[in-house]
Amino acid sequence: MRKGFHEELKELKKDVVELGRVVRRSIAEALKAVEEGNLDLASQVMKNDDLIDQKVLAIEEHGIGLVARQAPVARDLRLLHSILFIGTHLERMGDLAFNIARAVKYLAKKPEKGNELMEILREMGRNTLNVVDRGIEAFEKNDLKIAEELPQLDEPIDKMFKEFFKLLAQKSTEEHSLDWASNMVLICRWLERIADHAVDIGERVTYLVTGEMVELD
Amino acid sequence: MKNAFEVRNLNFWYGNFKALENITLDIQANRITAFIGPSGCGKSTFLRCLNRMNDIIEGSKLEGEVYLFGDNIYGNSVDVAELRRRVGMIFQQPNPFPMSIYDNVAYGPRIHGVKNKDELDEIVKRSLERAALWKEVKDKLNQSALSLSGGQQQRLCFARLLAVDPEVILMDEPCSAIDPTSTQKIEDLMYELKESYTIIIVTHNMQQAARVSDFTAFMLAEENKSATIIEYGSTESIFTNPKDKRTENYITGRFG
Repeated sequence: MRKGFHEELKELKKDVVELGRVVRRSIAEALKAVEEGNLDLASQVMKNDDLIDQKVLAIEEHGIGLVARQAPVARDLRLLHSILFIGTHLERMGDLAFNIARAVKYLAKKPEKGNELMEILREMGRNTLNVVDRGIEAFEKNDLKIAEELPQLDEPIDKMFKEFFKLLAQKSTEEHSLDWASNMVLICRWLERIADHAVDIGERVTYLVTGEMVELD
Repeated sequence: MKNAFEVRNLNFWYGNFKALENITLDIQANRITAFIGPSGCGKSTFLRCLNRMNDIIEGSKLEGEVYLFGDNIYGNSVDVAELRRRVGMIFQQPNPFPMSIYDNVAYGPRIHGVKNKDELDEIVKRSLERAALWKEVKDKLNQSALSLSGGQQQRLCFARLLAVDPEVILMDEPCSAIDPTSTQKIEDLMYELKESYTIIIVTHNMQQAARVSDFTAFMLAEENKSATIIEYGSTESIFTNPKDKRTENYITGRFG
């Protein structure tokens, strides 16, 4: 038994799951900051991104070290590959949460009819967090079924993004709200990207479990 | 793709002990095939079935067929010495003859009737070159082969084998008694040689199998059962996505 190695691999996986939860919290807090126009919370999220980046680097270094020392094969190799890729996806998701938080300061001049748009964003946020949760859960439990469900969960998010855009086009006649509107579009876009990364995590889980590289969509 | 070996329903006994159970597989020509598995899984026994090295073991018995490029090597009219020229073997311990470097390599061709000095010189040079040893020994061909290092001796064994122009090279743990640099040289050599020869290697070193081979067969003797092939496929698929749980457990070190 290569006990030490397998223990180490298990720990590394735990680190990634833990990182997933940290990134998830960042996304949720960034969304809350958007809703509340809470600049303090936004700056906390931005600060937190450094921590996420450091954790990703540590995971990567540890993973490369394991490749060098242990020459993993088969399921171990696939797990390590998934760990490194999922780490990268989480890092990107963290960056997108950072972007959302940074946009909060441009949202001060909310137009009169902004509530309807804000409602769509809130709904998108809920859905996105759900895909992220399920993506992390799929990895944590090596659950192929959850992984395969992710594209379905992602679908409404893409639809909401389009809906948001349409509604915005109808309502963005007020000059002063242009800044607000364009930043809201970006936030929607970033949420949609976050959800796509979560679906990609599902692809890694599928590879980990089955050994087959697939495109989930 | 041409097959060097086609093995059909091979069973093998040492006396009453059934060592190999119902092995059927094809081994591709000009490729490196590795047999891996824990100690006592029958990989060396199986390897030795491929050039009838087990014939000399008293009480051994074989059933089934082994075809070498279409010829049944267990057929009645087979010249076993000629078979072993076609299917040469490299062992764990380098085993040069206690004679000069030159005579080691010239030994086979001489037995097969080459007498002309120039022709022998040419064969010796060419074989040593192919075995990546020529540069190191060209000025001391008359020295004893036993004066060479272990790694050099193993390459000399390659040269001795190549001098009789084989079709297949069987290797039984060829690197387990030599240092890492020499191992690297042997592995490079295998890569060079597979263009012209079919190579089959038994190795305990799984990473070596992963590095050098194109195909891998995992063998196992389960409790109270005879050894057999559990899984056989491209080395890449065996080492990234083995289909059998037993293969997976063995190669990831979760065995037992």
